[in-house]
Amino acid sequence: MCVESSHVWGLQRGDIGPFYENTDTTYKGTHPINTDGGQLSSGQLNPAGASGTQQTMEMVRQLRGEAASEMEGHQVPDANLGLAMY
Amino acid sequence: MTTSIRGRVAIIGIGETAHVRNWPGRTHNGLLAEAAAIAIKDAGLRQQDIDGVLTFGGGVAPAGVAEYLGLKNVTFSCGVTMFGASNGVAAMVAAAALECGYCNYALFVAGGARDTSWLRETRGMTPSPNTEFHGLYGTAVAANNGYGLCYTRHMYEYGTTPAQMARMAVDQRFNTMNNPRSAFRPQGLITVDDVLNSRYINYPLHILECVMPIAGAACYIMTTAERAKAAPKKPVYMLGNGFYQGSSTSWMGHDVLNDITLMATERGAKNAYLVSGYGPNDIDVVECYD
Repeated sequence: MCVESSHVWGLQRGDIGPFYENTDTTYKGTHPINTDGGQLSSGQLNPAGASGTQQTMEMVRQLRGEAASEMEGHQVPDANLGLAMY
Repeated sequence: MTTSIRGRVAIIGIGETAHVRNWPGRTHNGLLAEAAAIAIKDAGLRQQDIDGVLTFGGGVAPAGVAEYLGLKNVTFSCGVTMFGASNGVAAMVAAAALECGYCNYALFVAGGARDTSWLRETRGMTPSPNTEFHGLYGTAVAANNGYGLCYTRHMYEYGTTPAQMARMAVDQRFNTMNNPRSAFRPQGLITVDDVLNSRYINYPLHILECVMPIAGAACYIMTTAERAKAAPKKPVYMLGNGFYQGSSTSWMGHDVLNDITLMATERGAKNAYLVSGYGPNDIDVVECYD
């Protein structure tokens, strides 16, 4: 994922280590990544080609603003444009 | 690209079940149906409105899924066997089918009970460069072996450190604390030290940096921009997409380009930006395969 996530925000491939070290990538941060916890923290939908689909689910929630009402909320403020990668 | 898909199709409904490590009594089709039912309702549609079906294919071919879901008006279906990229590529296929008028409402659904027997069967039967040349030297034996090699090379090339990478797991665990479907939410927050002190799965990857397979399912429904105007919820428009074919071993880097710290997503992302008219600095939120 560190390699994948280097295609946004002007990062070059070698930048990703210092980026994670110095950047808040939570939904509250400046550069939000995997705002539902990703497969790493919520579990990977495993069977037959399902993995990655939760990334699309969460992207739709964020761009609709629906993540605000899930539990205490995990919404990125003013999320209008997203990039999903698989 | 001469014809742009920009803004011409949208996702109007989603459905995702809980993520459960072991889910006794639930069947593969039953979980697919649960996710599909949530998505159809979310899109403000009825079963009979769904006329496009996309699945992983193979043992999860669209025909069986459509039949189980009780979809009787299907005029387009397609199996998209792209493993972790299946749902993304299915969105590209669905976009094309919608634009061509093959269907009006395309449904992609995937998931199921945690059963990987299909994987063992496929691996045993189908020779590939991976099984014939890489597996012989051990890469097929251990979990996440390719990713460990990619990570190690990244450390060598760029000076990336495990403490830097551990932040990824820490931030994602924070994010999952308000995800009601999450399998790891009950385990609470973690620190960089927790990650670095957890056992190795494949050096330099610790267990807290590796995904855990779970049972569950997820589904989305796409339609044309014109039809999306009637959807009850805010449509999420596809502004661009991009694809780049990696090699059969691209999960461990990019053999085609002889560089294991490069993934096909780099090329795919470039095309997505090109089609959309936006650039890397315009992005508000990223969801990427992990």
